[in-house]
Amino acid sequence: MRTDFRDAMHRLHTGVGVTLGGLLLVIFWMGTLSVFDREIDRWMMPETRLSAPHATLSSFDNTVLPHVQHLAAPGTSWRVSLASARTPFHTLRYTDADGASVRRHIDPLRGELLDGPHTAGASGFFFPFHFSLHLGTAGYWIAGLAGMAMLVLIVSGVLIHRRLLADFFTFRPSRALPRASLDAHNLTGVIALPFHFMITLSGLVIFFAIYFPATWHGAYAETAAHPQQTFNLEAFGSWSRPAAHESVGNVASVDAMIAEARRLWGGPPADQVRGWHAGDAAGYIAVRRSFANEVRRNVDVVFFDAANGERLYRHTASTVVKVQRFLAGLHFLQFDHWPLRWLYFAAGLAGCVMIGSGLLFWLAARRRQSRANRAGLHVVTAIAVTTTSGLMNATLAFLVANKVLPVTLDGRAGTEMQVFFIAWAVMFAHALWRGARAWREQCALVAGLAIGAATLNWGMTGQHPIAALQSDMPAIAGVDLMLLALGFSAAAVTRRLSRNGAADG
Amino acid sequence: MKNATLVSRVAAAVFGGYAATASGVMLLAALLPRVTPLAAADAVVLTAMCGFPAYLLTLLWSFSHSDLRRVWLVLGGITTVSALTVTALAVSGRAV
Amino acid sequence: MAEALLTMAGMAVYAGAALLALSQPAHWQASGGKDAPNRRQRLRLRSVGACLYAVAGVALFARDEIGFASLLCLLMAIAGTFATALTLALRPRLLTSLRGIAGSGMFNPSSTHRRSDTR
Repeated sequence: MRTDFRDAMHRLHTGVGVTLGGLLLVIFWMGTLSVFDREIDRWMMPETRLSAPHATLSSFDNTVLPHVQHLAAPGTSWRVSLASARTPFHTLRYTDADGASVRRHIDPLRGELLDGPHTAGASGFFFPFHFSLHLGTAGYWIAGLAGMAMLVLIVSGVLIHRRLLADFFTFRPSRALPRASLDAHNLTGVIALPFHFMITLSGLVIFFAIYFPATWHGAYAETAAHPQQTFNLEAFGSWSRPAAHESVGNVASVDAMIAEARRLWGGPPADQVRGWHAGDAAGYIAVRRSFANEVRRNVDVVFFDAANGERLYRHTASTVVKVQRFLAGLHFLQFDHWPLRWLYFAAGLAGCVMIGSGLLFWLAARRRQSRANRAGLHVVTAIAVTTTSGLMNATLAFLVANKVLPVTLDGRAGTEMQVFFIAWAVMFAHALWRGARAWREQCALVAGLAIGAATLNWGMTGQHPIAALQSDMPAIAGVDLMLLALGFSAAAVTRRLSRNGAADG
Repeated sequence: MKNATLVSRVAAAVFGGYAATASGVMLLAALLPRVTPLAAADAVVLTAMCGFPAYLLTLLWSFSHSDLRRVWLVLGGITTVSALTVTALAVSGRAV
Repeated sequence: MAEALLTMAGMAVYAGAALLALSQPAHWQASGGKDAPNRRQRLRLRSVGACLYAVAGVALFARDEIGFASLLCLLMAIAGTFATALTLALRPRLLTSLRGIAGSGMFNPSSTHRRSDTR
């Protein structure tokens, strides 16, 4: 390889890594947590800790439909996510008479509305954080830019790695920090390279319609008045018809619609039922096929007339769209496969270690240079601390707030999120004030908060890991055990950092 | 001087590269249904998916090519030609 | 049955990755070996390692449908490599017994080492 090309790649890797490393770490961390978002949801919402639903789903008409007809405002659309192995309750989203969006959980066996939800949960906070940073449209674009930066970092990282195969298994944790962190960075980067590339590219492909929005204007230029709508219909089956503006009282049997849809698909279960124009004569209902049994996040959907149950439209993906759905499915991870889920979680953590160790290496190497810009180094150190231990502490503060805030608090879900951001800001201020010593102090806080959160769950719900496993709640046990593992590892790291700090004088 | 060059390089790669990639994707999505049996919806999905690796290659080239002026010229050229061709196709299509 | 196949695949990729690592001089020595494996030993280590990966692949494709199995192959190969790297970093002597698979490396015309030469 030409030296100037390798130099350019080296400067590119370092430049992009230092500038966007913190942001990438946040995205990877939130994504890793989202692998188990439904399990964390159950931990955060004790009222949803129901046992797994029976294989044959209870009647939609008896358990869900009465609530839909009672709660959804006329003319609005509503959506029900059916109970599954990981989510033992139905989720109803509707618009009420005041125009507000409401989410309620329904017990699938008894058909009762569950209390709450009093929190956004992991699926409502960590997951959207991952792809839009809670910054609206700008957030999607920033995350997209970060995704492209990740691809650039991966490719440039490989190109500048001089002894890729020779160093493949090399990890020397007892050496000095620059060597050990570079080893960790290379290890987690190279060994998991196919995963990192796949997860990044698939994440971007999910949002191709956002990042390449003008594409349908080219393809549909003369044939359609509304290219985007036509595209959505042809590619994804987003069928629609306008409201008739006359009311009608009854809704046909949704159980029959689900049965008909399953018959058309050859057996697989449904996972979502959506309704448009509630109570209108032109109202219609769509039944969507479950993603549980294959990687591909299919778009198989069947539309029915709401009043008489007549089949209106059926959609299956074309081959090209199936490829996009497969890539999306690789990333979304909505299929039922617990070994793969744990492997993705581990790989995601490896990605976080890769990014964090890269930042650590740069800082450690920079600090050794006498001509380094001390003020700039202090700020970058603070950012690195904030996006590693600071981010963990903010996350744990969110989980602790979930246990500590009273259930009756108004706007409780929003308050929990505020706790996250306030804690994060405090971590940043602390890092600016304390410099490199902040690592050890924030690490100690991670240990305290993690073990504290698990203890709070035990204290408030009585479900410690063994009890949880005995009552068929592996999700709760899993979250608590991960919290304890995090706590004890953080304690070990804190001790190691204290010893090193004492040795340095 | 060096900072201005860096800013120019980053701007060329990130914004110029995106413009070139997006307009190239749009051009391909317009051409494929016309010259192949591929449906319009499929062309959109296929070309948009390919846009990401294409943008990656564009970024790598923009950051490593020695002549920054040439980078701007090439990216600007691709953007202009693609956008004009797509517009021409759209206008001629509607005129039919 | 599914869990047995998964466990078997897991052990196979760990052993396979370990054998591949041992074929490199630095890791051969870290696990207690003298010098470096010669060409015949390297070939033996790498081919047995590759076979173990193949065994893991067969087990995974027997367990799951093609999409899940491909993902499992990729991620378990990564996990096995990672486990080997950590073993070499923290407890390299654990891999001592695996060096035996390399054989003695004798009957190799290019080898000048004779057992009678060592005292």
